[in-house]
Parts: sequence; structure tokens; C-alpha cells
Amino acid sequence: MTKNGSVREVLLLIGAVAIAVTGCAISTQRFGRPIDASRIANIAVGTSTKADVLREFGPPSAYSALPVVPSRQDPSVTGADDLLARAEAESRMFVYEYREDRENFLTIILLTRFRREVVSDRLMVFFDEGDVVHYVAFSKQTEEPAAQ
Amino acid sequence: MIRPALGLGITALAAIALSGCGLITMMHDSVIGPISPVGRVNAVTVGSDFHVTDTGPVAELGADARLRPIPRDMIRRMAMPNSYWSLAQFFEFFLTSFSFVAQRETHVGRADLALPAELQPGVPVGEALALLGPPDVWIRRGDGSFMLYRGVSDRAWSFYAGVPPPVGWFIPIPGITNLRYSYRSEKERATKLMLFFDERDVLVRTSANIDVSGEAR
Repeated sequence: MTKNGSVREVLLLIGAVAIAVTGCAISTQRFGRPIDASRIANIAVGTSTKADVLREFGPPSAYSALPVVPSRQDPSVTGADDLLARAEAESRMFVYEYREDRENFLTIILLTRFRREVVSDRLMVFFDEGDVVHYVAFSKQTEEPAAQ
Repeated sequence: MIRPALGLGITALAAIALSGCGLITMMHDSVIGPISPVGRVNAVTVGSDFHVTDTGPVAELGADARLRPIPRDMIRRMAMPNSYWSLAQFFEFFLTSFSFVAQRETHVGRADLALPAELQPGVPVGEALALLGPPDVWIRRGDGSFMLYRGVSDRAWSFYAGVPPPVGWFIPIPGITNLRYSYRSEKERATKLMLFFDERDVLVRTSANIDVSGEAR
């Protein structure tokens, strides 16, 4: 065998080993259902009701209430009883959430690289005592789906 | 005729001792571990950077470039990998046996958190919600409320130089796998924006570790 031939074989072997020990993977875990942002305009603050929100977005991921902490001072002196009751009444909300957990992993012989990104779209709709929409808050962190 | 049998016996003994959690290993470590020329075998083969919680042993190994024969919680990884990374670490030995540099990045929440210029004292809570979206934390009191928006990013980098435990088994020098150098750097950065409202739900103050352009301070 010639010298050139053996060098080529060694290079091929190194290349094969490098390919064999190189790996990568991309994964995305999705939780919940994507939120259709175009429908948020149909929710009018002060007019739409809980039933309207359910009709537009379906059942929420969570129906909860904000934590309301009583004041340290005596409420009978400060008159905070009424304020606290109002805060409690206006703390009920529907939460819609869609979350993506993106991970990618790459290993090239001597280096391993891992990247993880957790992003979510959230829609919160707050109601007043009469179950009328009081506040709407929406944030989108995931990317728009590609146009078909 | 005696030599092969002796060799097999020693190999079997070594295999049991190096199993990481075997009886001989544990006896060795607890009795002569501190002065043994091979060091604490369990710590070398199984690892020692984990803590026990009410759900069992937990280890954060995402940025760990250590060369090890098997992942520490291999059975759990096989049975119920809770993320791709957890599963990938099960294959770590096969994939990254010679990978002594590891880099990890984790981003959770709003990386582009910025303080809008319109967000000035006097803004009602509804407008603040429209500008920033749902807060991560919102605590209401009778006499006011507090909102928090946050994003967390974590970058880690680690380097390991030493004799990998599986290779050390074939080097007849006691404690050779203890000769190692490892370096690990971990940086966690959080961007935070806090809003304080009065009892009429009007913004009175903001506090943030970001500026208007969104750069973390």
C-alpha cells in the first residue's frame, strides 16, 4: 500500500469517527392550546361577560383569583374593609395559557452544547362582581405560525 | 492454570467494587475511604453533587462535563425522562464520553422585557396590563397592589480534564481517576420590573433592573 493511500485511509477513519460521535437533537414540547389573538378584540372591557369569554376561547386553563392581602392596620380605622372586599371581588380571572418548551442538544466530539427556552402565550381576563370583563391582559412570546 | 482463575477473580472483585453502590464499595468507602489510595470509589463512580428530597435523589447536571461511567439516576431516566435533556443524559456515556467541555443556556420567560416609555405614574392598571400583558405576580391589598414581571436566563460552562473512570480501570495506578481538574462557571441573570399601584389602581411607582431599551442592568 502506498503512503498516500494510508494517509487517505487514516483521514477517512478520522472523518468516520468524527461523524459517529457527533449528534444533535431538537425537540419542542407543547402544553395547552394556542391562543387565537385575533379574537381578543371581540372581548370588550365593561361590556363582555364571562359567558362571552367562554364562547370565544372555550374553557380556561385555570379559573383563579389573585391573592388579596389584608392591610396591616386595623381596617375599621382605615376603612380598608370596603377596599379589601372590592379587591377580592375584582380578583377573579380566567387564565388561558399555551407554553412551548424548546430544547436543542448538540455534541461534537469534545463539546456538548445544550439550549433550552421556555416561552408562553398568556391571556388573563379579570371580572368584576357582576361577572363583566374588568381587565384584559395578553402577552405572546411564541412565534406566529408560518403562513400556509 | 491458576493464573487465569486468579485474574478472573480479581476482575470480578474489581467489577463488584467499582459498581458504585456495591457492598464492597460502601464498606471500603466508610472504613478506609479517607486514607485509601483509590479514594472514595462511590463518589467517583456515582458522583456526589446530588441532594435528597422527599421525591428522591435530585441532581442538576445540565452543565456538568464530568466524564462518568453511567448517569447517576439511570433507572429513573430510562423509566420516566421528564425532559429531553434528562433523557439525553442517560445516553451521555455513549454520546459524550470524550466531551469534556459542556455549555448550557436556559431562558425562561421574557427575554425582551422592557419598560415602555408610556408607563408613567398616573397610568391606570388596565393600561399597564395592555402595555405589558399579564404579570407573573400580582398581589392585591386593600390599600394598593403590586405587580411583577420577570425573565430569567442561565448560562453555564464547564470543563473537565482527567482520566475518565472507565479508562482508569485499565490503568494499574491506584487513585489515577482522582487526578482531575474541573472548572465550572454559572451565571444567572434575571430581569425584573415591579409596578406599584394605589387603592384606586393607579400607578404610583415603577422599579426595574432594566432600562427603557430593555438592557438589563
